[in-house]
This record gives sequence, structure tokens and C-alpha cells, in this order.
Amino acid sequence: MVFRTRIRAAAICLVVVTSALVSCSNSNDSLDGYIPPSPKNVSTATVHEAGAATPMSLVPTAGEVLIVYFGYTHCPDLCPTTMVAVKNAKKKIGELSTKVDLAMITVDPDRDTDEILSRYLASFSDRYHALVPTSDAELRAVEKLFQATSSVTNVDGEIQVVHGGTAYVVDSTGNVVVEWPFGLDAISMAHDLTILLTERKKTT
Amino acid sequence: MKTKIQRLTMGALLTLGLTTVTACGGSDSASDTTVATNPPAPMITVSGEWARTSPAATDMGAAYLTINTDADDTLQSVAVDASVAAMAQIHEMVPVENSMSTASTMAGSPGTTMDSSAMTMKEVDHIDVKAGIALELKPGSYHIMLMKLVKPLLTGESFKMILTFAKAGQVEITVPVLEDAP
Repeated sequence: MVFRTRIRAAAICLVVVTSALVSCSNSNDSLDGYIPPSPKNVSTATVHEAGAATPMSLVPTAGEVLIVYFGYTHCPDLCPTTMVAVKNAKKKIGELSTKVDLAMITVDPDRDTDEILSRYLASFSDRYHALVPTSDAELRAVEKLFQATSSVTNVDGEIQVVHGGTAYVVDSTGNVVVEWPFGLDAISMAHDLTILLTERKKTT
Repeated sequence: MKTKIQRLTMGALLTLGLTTVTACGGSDSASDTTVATNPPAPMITVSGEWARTSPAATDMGAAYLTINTDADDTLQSVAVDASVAAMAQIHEMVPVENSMSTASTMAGSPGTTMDSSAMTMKEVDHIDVKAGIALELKPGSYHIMLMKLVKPLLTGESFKMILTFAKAGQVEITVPVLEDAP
């Protein structure tokens, strides 16, 4: 479970802080997020993008990373929390932020039109891709690559949405290089982005 | 921001002319004899209250706060003025079992695994508040959902919210709108 693991990590962090008076985050070159245990390549994914003539590939250009998030605009808690963290993380890394792209794939395309999702994302970033799957098959295909899941059900007139809170960071090879579970803060995101973008600079 | 709530009846509050700090006992109509024998209403303290700036194109909002009490009580309901939102509800994010999400390895901690299971939101009828244990309404957990916002929640603005407790009665707070947690 996410929270049990995070609580354990937090406990370890407290021990480190109290014994050595150092932060458990940003103290080395390891990523604060999670690395998929087996390679996760999403280069075959394409999703309809608002305002674009052709579906978008989820592979960023060389030297950049793409943050991919599955959410929906009627989400008052998880989605804006993560979007604000991403926004603040980009602020923290200065010019490197120009190498960070953001895509949100709505899991609720019946309510999230191209126009609605575009306006929503503009609240958080000046560079974004509003991805609105045009069919259930299109959404499931891209979810499968990320091993993500979602559902939208109508329970007595109330729409209930299930979605993952994870944000995925994809590099220019189409690999998910790190996953940010819900609750990871902007400091950790900025830390990871700095590592990833610095490494990419060295190799490109 | 911290709001201390006193053990006062609504009548006493009105007399004192308090506007933003409100608490009333649950039995205003009780006789003097009953009042004398009943334990005092819990003293509720609300702190860290804030609501997130609402993104464009959505009419949903969320508010967060921390509740402390010196005696067990129950948060029964929340309410906002109709000029803010059509409805306020207590919600909780809960994990959804059997998701397809993968177990991932935590960077820097080989062998530590996590299951990034999917989550959904459900309405909560009430929340018990235990004496001496802070109840946090925070992102990814309990929160107050503001439905059908009349207008966007803009950073720097604020609005009134009323929390109703089983014993302490109504507590009115002023909620600032912030982009992120204070």
C-alpha cells in the first residue's frame, strides 16, 4: 500500500534526521520517486490531443521529459494537489523547467471535453497537452502501457471515478524513468527532475 | 490561523456579538438543572483551515483543516453559504483494491515495494473526533468537498464555513483560499 510504505519511509527519515541532522531527501543522486521494477516503455502510445490534428505520442523530444498524469477535472483533491506540486517543482528548477512537458489524460472523457481540459491545465502550466481519449479502447490501450487503471461509474445518479494518483515521468526513449506517487512534494519532484534533466544533458 | 472555540451557548454568543468564532451546546433548550449536571460541551479548536484555489473549468472545490478537541465528539456536517457553493460534503479518499497498478521499487531502497493502487472518493456521513488526537482533513485523505461552486475560489479570498459537531454544536470558521497548503 502506498501510505503504509510512505509511513515506513517517513519513519526511516525521522531516524536519519534525528541521528545525523541531515535531510533524507535530496541528499544524494538517487531519485525520490519510484523506479518501475521492470522497464515500462510507452513509446507506442498515442492519444487524441485537444486542438491537434493528429494523436499525440507520449515520447518527449531528446533532452526533455514528459510528465503524464491520469486524472479528471471534477477531481477536487488528488488532481489539483499533484498539478500544483508539479507547478511548484518547475518553479524550483528555474531554466531547466523549459525541458519539462506536461500531459494530462482524462479518464472521464464524457465530461472532460477538449476545451474544458485545456482550460483546466492552463491553470497549472503554460506548457501542457490536454489529452482526451476518443474511445474507451484508446484510453485502455494507453493505461495498459502505464499499468494504470481507472473507471467511471454512475451510482444512483452520482458519478464515481476511480483513478491512480501516480504521475509518470517519461524520457525521450519512451521509458517511464520514475513514478511519483500521490503526496510526493514539489521539493522531491524538483530533485528528480534536476537529476533526470542533468543526466539527459550529459548524454545528448 | 487558529480558532479557539469556547463553551458558550448560541444565546451567549449573540449577546457577546461574536461573528467568526461560534460554538453552541447541543441542548439549548435544556433546563438549568440539566445544564448543571451535564458535562460541558467539548472545546473544539480548528486550525490550519484553507481551501484550494479552484482551477479553471471546474466547479468543484476542496477545503482542509485540523480539528482538536478536549473531549470526544463527532463532526456531523459542514455547510457553506449558498453564495459560495451549492453544497459542502465530508469526503474521504480511499484505496481501491484489485487495481492493475504495479508494485514498484522505491528508488534508493532496494527491496522496498509499494502498490500504487488506484483511489476513489466517497462521501462520509460523519467523523469521530477523539480527545487529544488531532483530526487532519488533508489532501489525499478526509476533505471537505465544495460542490457546484457559484464562482471560482480565487487565491487571497476567504469564505465562511460552519462545522456542526454532535456535542459542541456549530463552529463557524473563516477559510482562506490558497494555491497550496499553508
